[in-house]
Amino acid sequence: MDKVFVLIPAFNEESSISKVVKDLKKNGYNNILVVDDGSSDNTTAVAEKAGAEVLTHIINRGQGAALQTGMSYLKDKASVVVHFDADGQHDPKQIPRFLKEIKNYDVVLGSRFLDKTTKMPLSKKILLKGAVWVSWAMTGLKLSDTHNGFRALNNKALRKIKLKQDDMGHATEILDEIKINKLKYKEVPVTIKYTSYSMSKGQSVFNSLKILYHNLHHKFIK
Amino acid sequence: MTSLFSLIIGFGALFLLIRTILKYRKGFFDSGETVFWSLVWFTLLTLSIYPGLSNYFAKLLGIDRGVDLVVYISIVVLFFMNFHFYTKIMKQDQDLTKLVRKISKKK
Repeated sequence: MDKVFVLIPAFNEESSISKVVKDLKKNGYNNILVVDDGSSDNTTAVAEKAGAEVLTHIINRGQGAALQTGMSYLKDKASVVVHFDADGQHDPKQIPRFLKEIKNYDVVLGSRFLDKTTKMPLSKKILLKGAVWVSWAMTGLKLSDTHNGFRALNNKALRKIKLKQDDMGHATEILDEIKINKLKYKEVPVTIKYTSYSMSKGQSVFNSLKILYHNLHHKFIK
Repeated sequence: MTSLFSLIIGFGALFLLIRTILKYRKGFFDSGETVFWSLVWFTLLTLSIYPGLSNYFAKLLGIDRGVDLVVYISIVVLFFMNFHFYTKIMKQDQDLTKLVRKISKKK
C-alpha cells in the first residue's frame, strides 16, 4: 500500500473546487477525495465532474467533521493523506515537501511562518500568532504556525487521530492528538495564497473566539 | 412571601404537577422522571401553603431566611440542569455527525 490521497473538505465551493481538483491532477495527484460538507450549491457535482471521488454530508457539520469523514474512509486505502483546502489557497507544487518528510514522520504540518513567502494582512498575522500561543498553552506543542489546513498524515496517524471537534477547533485538536498518541511531527514551510475569495471564507475574530471557547470546553469539560 | 405571590406559586406548582402526571400517562415521562418532577412541584406547592417551613429548614442549614434557602437551591438546580442539558446537546451533536458520516459513505 503506497497510495497518496489528497483530502479536500468543501462547503459551498462550486466556483473554486473544479480548478483545485484539476490542478492537483495536473501535478500527478489522481487520488482525490472531496468531502462535500452539506453544500447548498453544486459542489458535489462539480467536484465529481472534475474527477474527484466525493462523499457528501447531507447537512453541514463543519470542517473538522468533514476531515474525519474523509480520514475514516481512507484509513484502509491510503498510506498518506494530504489535507488540502478547497478555496485555492494551497499550491499542489508544494505537496512533495510533505511527501519527502512523511517518510520519517507521522504528521507533517505546513507553516506560513517558516519563511516569508506568505503575504497576509497584519490583523490575520496577529490572530494567527495568538492562536499559536493558545495552542502551545493547550497542547504543549511549540509550533511556528497553527490552524493551517495544509498538512499530511501517514497511515499510523490516520488510524490514531480521531477528531471529535466538528468545527474549526479541529486544528488545535489535531495537535492535541499528536501529543496524546506520541506521533512524530515536523513543520515544513508553505506558501498560502490569500485572495479576496479565500479571505471571505476565512476566520473572523468572532469565529476565532468561538473556536477558542470550543477548544477549552473540549479540553476541560468533556 | 405575600399571600398573592403564594397563591400564584401554589397554582403554578399545582398546574405543573398535573402536567407531570399527564405526561407520565402519555408515556412521555418514565416513572423516575415523574417521581423527580412531582417531588419538585409538590415541595413548591407545600412551601406556598406553609411558607414558614422554608424558615425551619433554613435555620437547620444555618441560613437566616427561608426565602434565601429557596433562592440558593433554585440556583444550584438551575446550574445543574443547564449543565445536564448542555452535555446532552453536545452528545446529540456528536451522534448527529456520526449519522451524517455513515450516510455519506453509503451513497
